[in-house]
Amino acid sequence: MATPASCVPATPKLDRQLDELTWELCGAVPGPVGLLCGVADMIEFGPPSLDLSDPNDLVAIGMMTDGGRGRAPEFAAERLALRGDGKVHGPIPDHVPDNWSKDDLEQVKSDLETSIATRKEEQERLGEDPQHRWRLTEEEQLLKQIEKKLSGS
Amino acid sequence: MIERGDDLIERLLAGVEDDSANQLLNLVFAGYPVDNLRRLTHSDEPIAVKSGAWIISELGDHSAAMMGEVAWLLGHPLRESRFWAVDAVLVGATTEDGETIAKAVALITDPDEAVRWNVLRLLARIPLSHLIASLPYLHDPHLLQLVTWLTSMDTERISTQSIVRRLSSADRLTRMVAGAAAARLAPKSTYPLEQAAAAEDQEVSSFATSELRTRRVH
Repeated sequence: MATPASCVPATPKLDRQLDELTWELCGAVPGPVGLLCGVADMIEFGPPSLDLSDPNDLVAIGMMTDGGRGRAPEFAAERLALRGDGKVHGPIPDHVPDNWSKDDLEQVKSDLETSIATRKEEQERLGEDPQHRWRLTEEEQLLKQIEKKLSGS
Repeated sequence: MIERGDDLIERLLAGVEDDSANQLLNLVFAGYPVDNLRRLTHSDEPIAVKSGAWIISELGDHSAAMMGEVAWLLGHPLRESRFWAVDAVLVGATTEDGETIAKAVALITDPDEAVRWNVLRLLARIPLSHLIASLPYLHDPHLLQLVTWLTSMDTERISTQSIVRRLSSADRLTRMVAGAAAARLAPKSTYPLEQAAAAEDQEVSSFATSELRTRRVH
């Protein structure tokens, strides 16, 4: 999916509260700001060609509803922040976004470690659950990639 | 997207156990209507119900829009449904959802150990304002008394000693709520949680051990 030229690339180190507000407006349930951004992008670039079996495209769709903050197609690190249940929620990118700073990487790494530990604990209590296993695997894969990137290899 | 999401729902309704639920979760994040998950949670197919409950629990604070559904899942015969619904209350409920929160708290006496463990986690982590909102809907007087005690933590009227003393109470519910109180206090002092981990009550001990383990990841 093309990066909307009208959007200024933002760093992921933005105020978490502001990000929460954006989530409210245009997160899982697309709100007016997100829709406007998506519509504007389509007017400028034409309808995107998407493969819905491709997680990258799914993330890209999510980014279309990012309130015009210019994060498409990169993935905002704040979205993987730890929630009250000790897990990270939201779509997991299949690669480490290039625009994540070292601080972002360390924060997401720490949050993923806690989330994975929580999910394993849940799995231990509840028993093996395929759907939960898929999510856990996605988080483990992203964590490995982050560790690799942080180690510079 | 709608067609793809509908296909995934059909697969789950047919009892297919693969990565369909995770794919559907990603579609919901991308804008697939969350209301459609009701087809899963009201199904007779256990895999569909479990998947629907799990997806709602994964929506984070956006599960707030599904609190009516969460209340239904809290009373479902499937243990996985109740387990994930407790998670959804933890991340998605607000002070407006006192009745649903109370329903989740009341599962502390659930016949399933995993569900009870998750309720302890809920009591240990839910904002106190949410717990306070549940008080008018707690029908069991004993549980109401214990949860009221727990909510007094914000005024710091609960001492470390009172938690530790309750950990060895003859009453099981008292011990369990004390275990949750110990976990709530852990950011300030891990002493009560360590005492809970060493408690004779296996369930409280197991919960406290898991809390210590998760908190020691870093």
